Amino acid sequence: MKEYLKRGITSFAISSFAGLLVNLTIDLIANLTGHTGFVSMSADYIALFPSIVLAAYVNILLYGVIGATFAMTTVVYEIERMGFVIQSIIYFVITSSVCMAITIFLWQLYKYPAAIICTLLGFAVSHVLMITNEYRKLKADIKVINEISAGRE
Amino acid sequence: MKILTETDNKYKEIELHVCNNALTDEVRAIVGELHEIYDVNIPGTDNKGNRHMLRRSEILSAYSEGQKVFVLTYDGTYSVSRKLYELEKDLGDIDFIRISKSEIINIRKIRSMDMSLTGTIKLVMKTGYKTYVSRRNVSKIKDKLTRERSEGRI
Repeated sequence: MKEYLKRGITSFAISSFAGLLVNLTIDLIANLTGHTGFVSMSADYIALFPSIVLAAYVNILLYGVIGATFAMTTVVYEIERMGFVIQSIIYFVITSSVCMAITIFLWQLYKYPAAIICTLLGFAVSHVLMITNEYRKLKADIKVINEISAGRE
Repeated sequence: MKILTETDNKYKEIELHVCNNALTDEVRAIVGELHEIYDVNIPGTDNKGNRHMLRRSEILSAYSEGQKVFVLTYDGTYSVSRKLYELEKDLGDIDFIRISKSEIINIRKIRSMDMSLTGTIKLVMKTGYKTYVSRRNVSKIKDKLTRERSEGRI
């Protein structure tokens, strides 16, 4: 558990820093091309805060929360008696709930239901592909193990 | 009796092969003597409190349950006073591999492996002992067995 907490803190720091760099890059490019202000954050989101700086701080912290959630939820993969398909579904449910909640808040997506559905679908499809690939790879590995083990009998 | 010495890069540690046209009493005696001299012996205690020296080659699995560590052999289960990571180091990485956070097994004693529809990976040893493997260790087991086979060790 200590290891996962450490992993969560590290991921929080990395994700916050990465989020900061992405926002900075977007704003720099936007400002160089004639736009002004914080383009990286939606106007509706900024309006929720008394100042733009506070909105930016919260934005960066929320990026950190997403990273920490992804990292710490991997603890579910340590439960050997639980099949990895079930593990992956639990991982998907937890990470997508946190990720979607933050994304909806940051981009004010609740005003655009189609965008919510598309984001969630994209997330779900990527997970299904990941689970399918892993399942096939495991099946292939197990086949080789069984062939070698049977050959020794 | 001939005694031959062979050196080849395929050997990762010293191997002693006893060859004959039949498994005679003399062969058994020689193999027994060699085991006595060279096997890594792990001290273990059975459920009656009797101490035994467990031969490395007879160990099927070593696992932790709570704070305790147990060793499974053909003869039964014994508790040992070492930590699992210490045992992993003592047993070496030639025949033994970690299959989960709480278990190490002897790869030479694997009978089969199977995965359920939900992705639970079950491993069956030659004695019928069943255990579970964590996903990330499957490829390590495969790589180790493949390497051992290509080097002609199994």
